[in-house]
This record gives sequence, C-alpha cells and structure tokens, in this order.
Amino acid sequence: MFGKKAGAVTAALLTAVALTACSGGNGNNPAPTATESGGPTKELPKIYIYQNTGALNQKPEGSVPEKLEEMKQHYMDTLGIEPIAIVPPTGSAEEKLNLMLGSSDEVDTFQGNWDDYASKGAIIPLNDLLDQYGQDIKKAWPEEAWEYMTDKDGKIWGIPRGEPSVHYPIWVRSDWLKKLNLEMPQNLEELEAVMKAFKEQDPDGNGKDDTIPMMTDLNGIKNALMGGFLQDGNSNWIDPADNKLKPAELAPGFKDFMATMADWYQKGYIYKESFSKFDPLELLKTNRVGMSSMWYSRITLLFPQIKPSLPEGAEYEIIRGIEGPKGKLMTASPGSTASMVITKKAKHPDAVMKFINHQYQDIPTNSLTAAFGKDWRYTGDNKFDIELTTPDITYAGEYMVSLGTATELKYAFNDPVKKMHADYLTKEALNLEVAKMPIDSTIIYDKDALAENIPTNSDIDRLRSEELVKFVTGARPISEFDGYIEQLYQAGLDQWIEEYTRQYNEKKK
Amino acid sequence: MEALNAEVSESPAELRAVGRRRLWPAIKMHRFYYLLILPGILYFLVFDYIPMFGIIIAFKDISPFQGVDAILTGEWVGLKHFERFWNSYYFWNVMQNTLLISGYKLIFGFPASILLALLLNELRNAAFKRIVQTISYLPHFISTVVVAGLVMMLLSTDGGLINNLIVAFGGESYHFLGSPGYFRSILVISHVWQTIGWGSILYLAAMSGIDPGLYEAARMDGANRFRQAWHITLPGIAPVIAIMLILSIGGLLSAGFESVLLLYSPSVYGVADIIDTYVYREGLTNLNYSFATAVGLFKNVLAMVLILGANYVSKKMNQSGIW
Repeated sequence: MFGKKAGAVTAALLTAVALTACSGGNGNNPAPTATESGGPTKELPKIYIYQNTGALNQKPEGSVPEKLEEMKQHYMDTLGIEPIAIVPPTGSAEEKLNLMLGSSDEVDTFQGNWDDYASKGAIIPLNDLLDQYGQDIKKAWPEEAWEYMTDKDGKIWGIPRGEPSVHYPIWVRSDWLKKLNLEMPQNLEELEAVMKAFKEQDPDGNGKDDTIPMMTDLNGIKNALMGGFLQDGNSNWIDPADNKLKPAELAPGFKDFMATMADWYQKGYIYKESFSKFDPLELLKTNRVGMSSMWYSRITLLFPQIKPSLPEGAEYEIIRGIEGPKGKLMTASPGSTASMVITKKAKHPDAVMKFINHQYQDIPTNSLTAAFGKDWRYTGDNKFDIELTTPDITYAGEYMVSLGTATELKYAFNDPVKKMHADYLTKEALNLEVAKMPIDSTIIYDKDALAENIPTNSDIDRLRSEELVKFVTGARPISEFDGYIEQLYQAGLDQWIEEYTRQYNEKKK
Repeated sequence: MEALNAEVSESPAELRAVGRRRLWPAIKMHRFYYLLILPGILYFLVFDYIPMFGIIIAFKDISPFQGVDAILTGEWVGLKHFERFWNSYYFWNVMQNTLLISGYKLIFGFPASILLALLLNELRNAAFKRIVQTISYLPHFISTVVVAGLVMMLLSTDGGLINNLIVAFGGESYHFLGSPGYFRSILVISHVWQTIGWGSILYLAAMSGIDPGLYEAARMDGANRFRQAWHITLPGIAPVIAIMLILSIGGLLSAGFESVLLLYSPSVYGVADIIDTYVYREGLTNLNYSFATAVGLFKNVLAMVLILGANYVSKKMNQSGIW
C-alpha cells in the first residue's frame, strides 16, 4: 500500500515539475509595478524597449542590477513611464527580435531598417506622435536625415539613427611605422610595402613571425579598399553602354580589386580568419595587429581599453589621403533607413514617443544620463566637455533610445578611454570628403517590389558576398572570374539589373 | 489467432464496446503508470502536435507580424513557395550538402559505435571497461555550442593546438574552418567523437542479452574470439542495429543544424549550407516565414519517405522493423 502511495506521490510530483517546466516564463520578467513608496499607486504605462541600438557595446554584460533599478525609478519619477529593457542575445539580436515581433511578446520600440518592417505591418507611422510628443526629436535631426525616414506618401516611419558618414578608414600602428622607418602610405603600392614590412620585420619584436599586417572583414575590404579600384567605389554603377544600373561586380576594376585582395591574403597580409568569426578585441590584445580596415569603432572603442596592456607608445592612426588607381579608397555609408521605430502592438505609443523625446531634451544632458546614468558630469560650464565620475561604468545604457549623431556629436570626453571614439565622431565621421559616395545613396529601394520582381534576389545577394570571400581566400582561383559573372546571370542578374534600374530611374531626383 | 477468434465471437461493434469496457478499468487499475506518461504525452501534444497546424502557412502568403489569426485568414497561394525553393539557385547545392554531410555521418559514425561496443564487449577488466565507456560517452553531454567552441579553439590559426603542431614541424598555419576542402571532415569527425560512446551503450545492452550458452557452444566448436563476435554477437544485436539504422535514415535530412550554424562562414557556405541553415536564414533572418515553412515541410516529407522506405527494406530483409 505504501509503495502504491509513494508511486502516486512521485508521479504527481513528476507531472507537476514537468508542467511547471513547460509553462516557464517568457523571459521578460515583468518587473513589479508598484512604486517603492508604497501606498495607493496608479498603474504607470509600461514601455518595452528592445535594446539593440548598440548602447550596450560599452558594457555588454549589462548594468549592475541596483543601478538599473535606480534608473528605472528615475524615469518613473520623472516621466511617469515605466521602461522595461529587453537585452537581446549577442549575435542573434535580429532573430530574437523577429521572433518577438511575430509572437505575443511585448516589444514597443527597437532599432531597425523601417523599410523592412513597415510594409509587413509591424510598425506604425510616427507623424502624429512626433507632432504631439516629439518636437525635440524633430528639432535635433536635420531635414536630410528625415528624408530617409519618409516614404513616398509622406509617412515618417522612424527616428533617424545617423547621417551619411564615413566608417571605414584604415588605421595603422604609427609607432611601428616609426620603428621601421616607414612613411604613412599614400597609395596601394606603399600600403602593400608597409604590410610586407610588418610581416617580415617583426615590428613587435617578439622574435616570432606572427604579425598580422591587416585585420579586416568582408565589409572592411569593400568599404575601406574597393574605392581605389572602382570609379564609384563600393556602389552600384551606371553602365554607359546601356545606361543601366549594375552591381559593382560588373564594373571595370572589380576583378583587379579581387585579385589584389586575394594576393594580399595569399601573402599573409590579411588576417587568415578575417572572413570567419573572430573577436577583434582578443586579436588586438595580442599586440600583433598592424592595421585595421574594419568598422572604425573596432579601433576607437576597443584599442583604448587594451592600450595600457600594450607596450608603451602603441598607437593607431588613420592613414589619410591614400588613393588607388581610381582615387579614394574609402566608400562612405550613405544615409540609411536604420531608425528607432515603434511597433504596431505597442500599447502606449504616446508614452514611447514621450520617453524617446525626453532624451532629446536639453541635449546632451538627458541622453548622457540615458547612456551613463549618474556616472558622468560636465567638466566645464560649456555643456560639452564631460568626464566619467567612476572608473567603471555601473549603468550600461539599457534605456538609451537616442543613440545617433544628433546626440553623440554634442559632447566630448576627457577620459582617455572614451576620447578616441568621441574624437572620431566629432571630427572624422561626418567628413565625407575623404570617401566616395555610392551613386544611389539617396534612393530608398522598395524592398517588396525587389522581392517580387527578382525572385532570386536573396540568392544573388548571397552569391555576391560568398563568392567574393572565396576568391579572396583562394578557395576559388581568379581565373574563374568570368565563370562567376556567368553564374550571377544564371541566378537572375538580368532581372536584378532591370528592377534596380527601373526603381533607380523612378526615384532619382 | 484461432483461439482468440473462438473466444471472442462478437460482432465488430460489440468488440469495440468490449474494448472500451476493458480499457477504462485497465486505465484505472494502472492509473499511476498512466499519470507517469502524462507529462510526456503533454509535451508531444503541446510542442509537436499542436504546432503542426502551423504548416498550413507553407501554402499561404503571410507576414510574421500579422499575428496568429493570419494563419487562418492568410491568402492561399498553392505551391508557390515550394516552386520557389525548387527553382532556387541554391536548391541542389543545399540538398547535396545535406545528403553528403549526413551521409558521411552515417557511414562513419554509425559503424563506429558498433565497433566500439564490440571492442568494449571483449574487454575482460571490468574497471578499465567502465572507465573507457564513461570517457567515451561523456562528450555526449557537452552541448553543441561548447563542442563548436572546442573545435574552433583547436583549429584556430591563432594559437590553436593543431596549427601550433603544424608550425612546430615547419609547416604553415592553415585556416581549416574556412577551407571548403576540410569543413565537412571537421563536422563529421567532431560528430563521431561526440556520439560514439553514447551510441555504443545501446549495443552493449543488446549484447548483454545474448545467451552465454551460444558462446560456450561456439568455443567448444573451436571458434576464436573474432569468430564468436562475427557469428554470435553481431547477429545477436542485428535487430537493434536495424532499428537504429532506420531511425538514422529518417534523420538523414537533418544534418546537424547547430554544429553547421556555429561553425560555418561565407567561405564554406558552398559545402556547408544545409536545408536547416537555409530555413533558419530565410525564416528568422529574412522574415520569409511561409517560404521557410514550405522548405521545412518539404524536408519532413522527404524524411518520412526515407524512413518508410528503410523500414520496408529492413522488414523484407530480416523481418525486423519499427512497425
């Protein structure tokens, strides 16, 4: 009898455990709603922020819990809005966001390309909200930035994230140049000579043949170097033969670009794992990287962090004025549709807009608070120079929804770790003179029409990036270049050219 | 059978009624056992059967953000998404990769567990046998993410063990994971390493059920150990091998999504991209839910055909199958 009872109890327990496990929470951990002051409290509107803006890059592990709570309380007291931050998993932020948008999970605002989401009905137009609650946001961004946010019917779908900028300068270890008696390279031959010297002359002096002359990635070689080989840089181009818009692969010079990259890779000038997954911070720590042609912040944010552990005098400087046979090496990033958007399922879109607008008030004070909590202060009375009050940031920026040049260019750090990044943003990022601008930079292509009229569009995109990597890494010989172009046509490049040309002609001003 | 017919001579309707009458008392009597399997049933119901309803979106055009209602209200588009996949530039590439990767895993991984089980079965030192067995199946408990991390560290051009050895012997370091020539081998080797021990447990269990008298008789007939393994052990575990083979063939189109996703990069997409990674990219990254569902459904239908075929062949050959 006892055995039977024990069996029953065990079974019931097992069932209960399994059911509990099955019905586990959705991971959002809704925070308690009542304010700490107790007493009868009115339910504050909650807003769910999907924190994929890049604000957390400064402290990826997130805030110290009590500081996060403190900031939440700050917003609840100041605005009467309770913000809840959803921190995405590293590396699959987009996938998680897409899942959340398609499910019943709460997500009210996130950063994304509005044209990806608007036609699918995931987000709402912001015209009225901006008029009513977003005047400060409207003032903070220039007219050109708003143009990228507006569709052909005049609906504004997002709050801008940036303006046309340059993001891919080549950085070089200037202390190594001095050590090896080399000049700043001014053309591709000199650049190659510097890489050769870095490779062969052991500039770090560790006695090993382990220097990595250049760390880069796919976007790096395209945006930092392609401009030297192609008239229009990393851009579509108009073929004068038939006046059609064509991809860079068909432009004169593309094959040379590819061949040069393959040659550099073969010679060991380009980091072997550049096109796989690697951690630039770890690589920089090894004191073996001579140059970087990746997204600027790989240097401006990461290098100052590890500088103290590198030998004295270690410094990365931008190579200025360098040109290839077809001119400037760098291609600028045109204005894009990247923006803060508000989802259709947001229960309090007005609260979301108020919340974002608050960070655009009293620039840069409120946005700095959103980024660093209480760990910062102005150092003078010009409301520009600032410093951090603690060596380690305690609040990571989970509630920061105003990241972008409109706020980031309005202050500068005295702190050496932050200074390099701030200097780049204030002095370099908007200087478009140093790069080529893609010819269709002002065109916002209709992505639905692209998908409809080019059924193999994603196959073509994939072929373009995949085969470039194969050619550069030597997995495919350059002699097969013509075969590759043939392949692109088989995959539907004719349709691609037709549709892009049609939209380009229709939308160009 | 005749006895049964003689005993139960009612009409089919009566038979069912009797069945029902007997079912409930039987369930009541064994209620605790039924309670024990309840979580399992619920699990499959909630996570495998109810979501199956969603496959209808493979025949509709819906956007993930239209909400659950769209599954019902979306516009029917017939086989549009299937045709798009069949006409995709990467269709054959993805199919070939899937079949090759899982084919290699089957060819090398499947016999490896049997071989290990045979070898372990011959060990006489019980302690040594247990230690080897434990060590060999430990990797099974390591998550794929960690295994991928280990593989990346071992093969890194930047301080990885293998490349350090190559350099020490005067060679040049090589980026194996970025090389189409090595990628599949790396996948298969890490798969065999991870699964060999766990797979052998089942065979060892089957071996322990073989009548020791058979071995005794074989020894008296002068059979050496190899002959005993060949003529007694292997036939003894043949039904288990057959069942495992059928199950493996059913999984032939699942070539190990996680390990591929974690290890591949654009330079090896050509040899690494499998149906599952294709579905993942199309569905979750490019938001083509309907299309991704169609591809997934296509894969499952093929897997079903494969498993039915394997079961049929197995039954024809040695009378044992799953059903």
